Amino acid sequence: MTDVDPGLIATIITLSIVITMCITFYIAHAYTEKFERCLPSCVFVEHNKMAFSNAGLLGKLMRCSMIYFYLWVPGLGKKRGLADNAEIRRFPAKLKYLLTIPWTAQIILLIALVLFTQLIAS
Amino acid sequence: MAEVKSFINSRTQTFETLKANIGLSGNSKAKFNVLNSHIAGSVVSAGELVIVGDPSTPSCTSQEAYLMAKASQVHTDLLSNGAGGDDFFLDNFELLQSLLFHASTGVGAVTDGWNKHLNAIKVTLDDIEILHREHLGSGSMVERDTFYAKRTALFLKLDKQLSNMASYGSGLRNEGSIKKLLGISTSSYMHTGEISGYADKVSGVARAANLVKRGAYIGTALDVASTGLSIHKACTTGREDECRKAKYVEGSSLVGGLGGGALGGTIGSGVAGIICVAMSVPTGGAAALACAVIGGAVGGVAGGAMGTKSGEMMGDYLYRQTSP
Repeated sequence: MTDVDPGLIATIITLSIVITMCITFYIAHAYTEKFERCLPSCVFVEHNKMAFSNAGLLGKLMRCSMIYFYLWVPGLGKKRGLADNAEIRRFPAKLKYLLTIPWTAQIILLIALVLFTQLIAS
Repeated sequence: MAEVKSFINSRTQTFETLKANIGLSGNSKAKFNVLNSHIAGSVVSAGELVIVGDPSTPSCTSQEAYLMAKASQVHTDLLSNGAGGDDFFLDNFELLQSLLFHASTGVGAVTDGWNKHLNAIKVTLDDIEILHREHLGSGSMVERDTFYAKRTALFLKLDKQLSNMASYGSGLRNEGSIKKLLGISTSSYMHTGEISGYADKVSGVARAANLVKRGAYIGTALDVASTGLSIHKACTTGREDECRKAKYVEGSSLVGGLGGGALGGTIGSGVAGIICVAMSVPTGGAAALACAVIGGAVGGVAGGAMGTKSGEMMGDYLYRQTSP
């Protein structure tokens, strides 16, 4: 199908994952509280804080993941009153990029990893 | 070819008993105390690494020295985690390990909740012990019936806690009935003071909680140690070339495994959290936490496995590119 060495694809994917995760860890460490301050009336933010506040950096990762998904699908929390849609719309663009770029990259890389390991490497 | 062997001590016993049970001879016997200096002359806890030397030579080989370093590391780890007193650590080691391997990052994200769950089990166990102590103080027949009733209620509570999804991680689920788990029988329960066994089990659960709380770090350490072993094996038994290749492949597979595990764990726990919200599971409580734990663990395991494979291919590719 292709002349590209599968090893090269593996290298690109693996290194991208490592770099993305490093950036993700940094953003979770430095920005989680800033993200949450922009969503003061969202109930899910409070709940997440309660559940994950003692879990350190990994807890922050979790909190960021949840915010990302709510920003991505705002209707999700609306039905149960967990999120305030107006607040989500007002979410600062710069912070939104900071959150969405690495997290979207994660999803793309995960899909790439699954496709690569299942279709090419097997 | 004769070579050095090692095994994990399965139960707490004295060093002399252990030595007598192995049935050593010749060079192995002569070297045994030196090789096992980390446990020599003391009580050997379950989980300690025991080394049986190479019988073909009276000298110590490099593999023996390597295993001695590993055994000493295991010894220190066991001591620092307080896992020496009973066999709980080893009894549940497989389960803890399978949970921690690759799933480390995913589970690590929510270990605090995991720890709370284990602590809830501990509190129930403590309650049963307190109830029994109070009963011993009274002794009348009416009191005994009250005791039975209260104890049944506590057992039911414990059963519910143990049958909870999350209790797979507590390492207790596979143990069967509560009585078996606690090491007591109903017939002798009231008369022989077997209840004293509770104390050990309680501390065992606490230790597991302690281990699981540091899950992310233990998982990573296990990954690193097993990679180190593969590299070492290839270096000592193979040629220089294989050693170099092993360094590339194993090292890269570790990088891939950790990266993939982190990636899968993060996305898995987030997605599972959202699915639970969509399915109207209450947010912020134990249920949401359990969703995140399970999602994180599943994502971590899958991501870790795929990342390892991809990492191996990367190592192989880099090796091919850099070899002359």
